[in-house]
Amino acid sequence: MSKFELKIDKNADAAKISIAGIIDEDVDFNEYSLSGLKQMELDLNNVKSINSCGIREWIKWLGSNSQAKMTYINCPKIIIDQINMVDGFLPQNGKVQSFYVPYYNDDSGTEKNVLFRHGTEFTESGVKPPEKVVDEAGNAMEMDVIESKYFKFLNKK
Amino acid sequence: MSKNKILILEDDKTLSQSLQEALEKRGFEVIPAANAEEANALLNEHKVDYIFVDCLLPGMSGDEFVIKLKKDKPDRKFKVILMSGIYTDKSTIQDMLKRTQASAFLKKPFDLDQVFNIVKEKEDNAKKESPRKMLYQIFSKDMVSTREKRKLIESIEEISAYDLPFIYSLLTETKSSGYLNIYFNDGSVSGIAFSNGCIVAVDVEDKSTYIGELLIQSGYVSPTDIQKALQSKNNQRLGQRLISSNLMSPHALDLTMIEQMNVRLSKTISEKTVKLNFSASEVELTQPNIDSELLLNYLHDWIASKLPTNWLKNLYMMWAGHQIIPNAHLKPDHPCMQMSLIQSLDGLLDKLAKKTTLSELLGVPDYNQAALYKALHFLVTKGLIYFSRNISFDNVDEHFDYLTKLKAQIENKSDYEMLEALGLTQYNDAESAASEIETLLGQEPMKKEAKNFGVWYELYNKISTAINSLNPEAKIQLKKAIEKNEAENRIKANQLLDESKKELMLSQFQSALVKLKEAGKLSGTLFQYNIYIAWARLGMNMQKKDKNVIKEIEFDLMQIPADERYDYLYPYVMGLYYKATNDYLNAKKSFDKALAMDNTFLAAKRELSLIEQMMKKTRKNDNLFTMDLKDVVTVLFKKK
Repeated sequence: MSKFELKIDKNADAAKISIAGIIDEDVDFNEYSLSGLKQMELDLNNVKSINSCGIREWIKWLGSNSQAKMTYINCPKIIIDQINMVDGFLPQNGKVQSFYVPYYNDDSGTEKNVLFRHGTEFTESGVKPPEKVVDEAGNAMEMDVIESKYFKFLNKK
Repeated sequence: MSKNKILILEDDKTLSQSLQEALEKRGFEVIPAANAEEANALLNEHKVDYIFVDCLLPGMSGDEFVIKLKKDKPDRKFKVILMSGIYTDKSTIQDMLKRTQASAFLKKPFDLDQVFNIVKEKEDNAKKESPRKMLYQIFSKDMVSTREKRKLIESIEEISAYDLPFIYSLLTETKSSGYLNIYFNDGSVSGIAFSNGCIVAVDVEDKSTYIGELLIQSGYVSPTDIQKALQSKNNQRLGQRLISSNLMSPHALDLTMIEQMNVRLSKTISEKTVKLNFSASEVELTQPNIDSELLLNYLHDWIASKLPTNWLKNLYMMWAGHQIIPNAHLKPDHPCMQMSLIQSLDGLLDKLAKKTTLSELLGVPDYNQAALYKALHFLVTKGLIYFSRNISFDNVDEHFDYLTKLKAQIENKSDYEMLEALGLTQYNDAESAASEIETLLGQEPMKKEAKNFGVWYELYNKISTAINSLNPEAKIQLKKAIEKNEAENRIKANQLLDESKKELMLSQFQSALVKLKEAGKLSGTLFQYNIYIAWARLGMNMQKKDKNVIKEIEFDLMQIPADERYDYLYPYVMGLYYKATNDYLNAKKSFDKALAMDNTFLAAKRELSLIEQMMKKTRKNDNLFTMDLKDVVTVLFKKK
């Protein structure tokens, strides 16, 4: 697999975009025009990391079509961190539909990402985490984020 | 963190013993007492955090004991937990809780989990150290996992950009791979890529550090060469184009790329507040890069030149009385020990080996205070020393001296400034900060008549009152007010700096020095401040050449950051320094360089002409190996 992959599945004025790998200075978003699109769903499940150049390019790219409605799905922690810290990383008319929350078990050291979905594990009014999260051995796991910081983006809109 | 002490006042031996065993297993120190007299005697010897009291005791009842104890020892802080199997109706319990001001009531028989929940609350509070404090103690651990680093960086809500050298060093020393993104309040983002502890890329939004600019400033290429390279039609980056066009050597490009990373990293270190995010990831190890060895020089340079002494004073105030623990790698042959900051403090290594404190080091008469703070910060940043978690004193006098110094340091500060200096702004109530305050002040003195008792309580109350009086909203307002004040002072300081520049050009060194000192008091972050102050001092010292003043000037020059050296003023002032130290050859080179950067700079022209005359005068005694060829021929073949 190359360092970065982007697939666009266009259907009239809507598009499903899936992004994988590392978003950095080598990514040229100009190759992927967003003009004419009115609705976009960005699947970010396989984004591994993003650096400062990547953040700037991302904002520029999505800003090139600020009118379109955008939905981010399967956001890994690295994306949620950027949404929380960088204005414009999630455009004004953008919405997070689902995102991962890291869980951890202190004794076994196991880590797991749990998908929080809009309407199930979170809504506009707050977060409703699953009652119990266990690792493969059945050990109870705890949320591995600072909740006030990680879920801050939910109050932004 | 010291163990929490618990006193159990219970005449039922079986219950007392089982409670003691359970609490001891949880790491508490437990002292049992069977009656009020025994408990009083023990409380005269020990400072406890909790007292579990049975209400129905032989002789004095448990509630009476608590009321009397609180009356007799009003200064002592402990939590009371009442226990009873007889008084169990709601109104009696409420009445007892009210009269004794106890924190909880346990109906016998009770579950041990109820006990643990009560003491856990305090344990949790005790563990709540400020993330920044935890950051600066991370090198006390032998191993730091990637997760630990990530969690620590995540826990920091905001940090001063002056803390960044420490973060860079942490990620380098712990062989990290990934991207550190730095978010500034103005919306800009900078990033640093680490590969197995080496810095491989630095990204800042700053045109002055573009490679072309730096290549010209370093004298490797001319602006015309850059134009030529840019005209060649290929997709290569500028440096590669210059090499392909035979306009520059690959070695020059490598050196400039490293210098570019240095200047860019240096630019991230400022008075701004930043947010951080570290994403661990595989990053390719590209060349050139900055490894731990090279970073050592840069760290030294940044700490010497970019970190204001006042900022360091505030950072270390909370650790002033803590023992400095040297790491096993801190040895005379460690490269850090050869750096100028360390070398400027005679016998520092020996003192550190004896586990001294900052407070004691500040008392060493020959030590320059600014150099001491910077040297210690350099060693902390490299993980070669750290401060012990607990404060300890050999005797009451030592504790008293420490507290008196601390009191003097915070005396003229506002409540907010004081809390900021002590690293306590994140607390909203004194109770949750109690353990942190005790870490700062040292153990609470047991005896009222002891010398340290009064000042300990005075400080404890002052800090607690300040924490309780400032709500989060007020803190934000005060922080803004301080920032506004600093900005105003910076404007005034810059005006003074401008005036002093004009005076320096007119060789009015004394007046310029007075203005510069005034400007330095108003702001610790003035562009090229150390260049000007060194210029003024050199101007005044040119005739006398006082060794002590030269030492001060050397410290000024050490404090000039890398990004302030790309200007004709830096080589000019360096030329003055070489002249003052009779190194005419380097003085000439420096004045030449200054004129190459700005050929209209009259002062440099004047100095160059003077130095050439001086060189001619001294040439008679010159060594053949250092002479110009023309002079060698003259000396050897001149007709007598």
